[in-house]
Amino acid sequence: MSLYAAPVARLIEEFEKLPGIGRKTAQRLAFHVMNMPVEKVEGLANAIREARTRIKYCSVCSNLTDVDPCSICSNPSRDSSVICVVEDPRDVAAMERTREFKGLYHVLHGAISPMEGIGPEDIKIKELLERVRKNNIAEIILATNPNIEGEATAMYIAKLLKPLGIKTTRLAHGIPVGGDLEYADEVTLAKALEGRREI
Amino acid sequence: MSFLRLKGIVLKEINTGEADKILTVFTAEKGKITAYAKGARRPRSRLIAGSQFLCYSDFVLFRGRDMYIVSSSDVIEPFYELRNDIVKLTYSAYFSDLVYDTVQENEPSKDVLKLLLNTLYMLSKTSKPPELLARIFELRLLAVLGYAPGVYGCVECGWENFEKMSFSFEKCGLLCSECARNDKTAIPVHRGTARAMNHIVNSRPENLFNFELSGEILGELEKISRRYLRERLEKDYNRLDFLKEL
Repeated sequence: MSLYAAPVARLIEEFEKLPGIGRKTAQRLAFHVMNMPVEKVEGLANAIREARTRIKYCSVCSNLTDVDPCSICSNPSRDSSVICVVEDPRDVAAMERTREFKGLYHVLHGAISPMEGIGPEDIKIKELLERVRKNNIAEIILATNPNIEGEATAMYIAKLLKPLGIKTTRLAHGIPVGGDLEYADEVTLAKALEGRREI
Repeated sequence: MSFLRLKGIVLKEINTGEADKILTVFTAEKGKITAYAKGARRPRSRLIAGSQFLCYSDFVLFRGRDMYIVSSSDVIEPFYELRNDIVKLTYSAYFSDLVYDTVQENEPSKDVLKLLLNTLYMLSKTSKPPELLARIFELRLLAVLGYAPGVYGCVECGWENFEKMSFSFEKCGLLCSECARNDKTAIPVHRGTARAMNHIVNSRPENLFNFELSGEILGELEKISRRYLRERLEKDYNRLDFLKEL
């Protein structure tokens, strides 16, 4: 028998399904919702429903968007000859925060992982190749995560792009700004040394 | 608070919380252990490099309530080259799967660790074919675990000539043509295959990788080795099927 009334128990159960939410947090969230005014609860429910139903993949870059093509792909001031390939829509936001990149994106929605059984067919590599073939692309920047899956994905894509003769670059690895050399790990330091540049 | 200093290789990493990881580390002294690497996904974390899949590091660990807690990790060998080749990475994931399933928690497994490190070294730093390294790893691992097939000669009569031998899955080893006559599981093997199996199972560790095989022999060895592995470990390992997708 549940300790709570059925609708509350169900709400707790639904919250618990979200990533990073345990039983206690789910209960806290559920009781917070119970104490919210009805109109605010409706606003929250509508926001969730609207986000889920209105958001789709951009037909050009596969990023999440409410208009197709997305605001970045349809922006004429962006350089359409440079594509930055990222794993996740959140990485687009991270790159945009730099305000340094003026090209377009391509979101893979994952990375190749032999460990998890995720193959090239499971992510949007085919779409990237199609896009590269159809458009006049000068450079592809591979900005997948610098972990084992991200590196493997970058190398795999680079290999596919090589016959097309397009300049393919990889995001640099190095010491974080404000970091301490003494505490940098050996791999990062070695990579930073390898990718050093003249000043 | 007491701490442990162990050298080990990361067999599995599971992301948890905001930026943490739960690692399965394979060590010589304690076999497989589970360790919590707090903040290991943050770009400035000191644990970031040592907590990556297949990174061999010197770990300082504290005993937590449910698992060890990683205090620090100094990278000894990151096997970085494996990331640059998806085929090699798939083979290393296969080796990691086999080790993960066959070593126990808190059970010293020095020889298995040595075999894994040497195989990963050969895979990452040399041009030895991954297919050959996989066969060496499979058979030698089974030998280290106590499932060595009898490949010194005929397991029934002791005949030591590798000509016209068969491999019997029932008798777990080579049979001469006479002894193989009534064994339904026996399949004829090429002289080179028999000699290669003998080398993999019985050679000294420093000579283990010092040989090459033709494509035909390697193909025959693969069939025997994979079936023998499946029958001994009672599990199908499909990790290498991933390569067909590439």
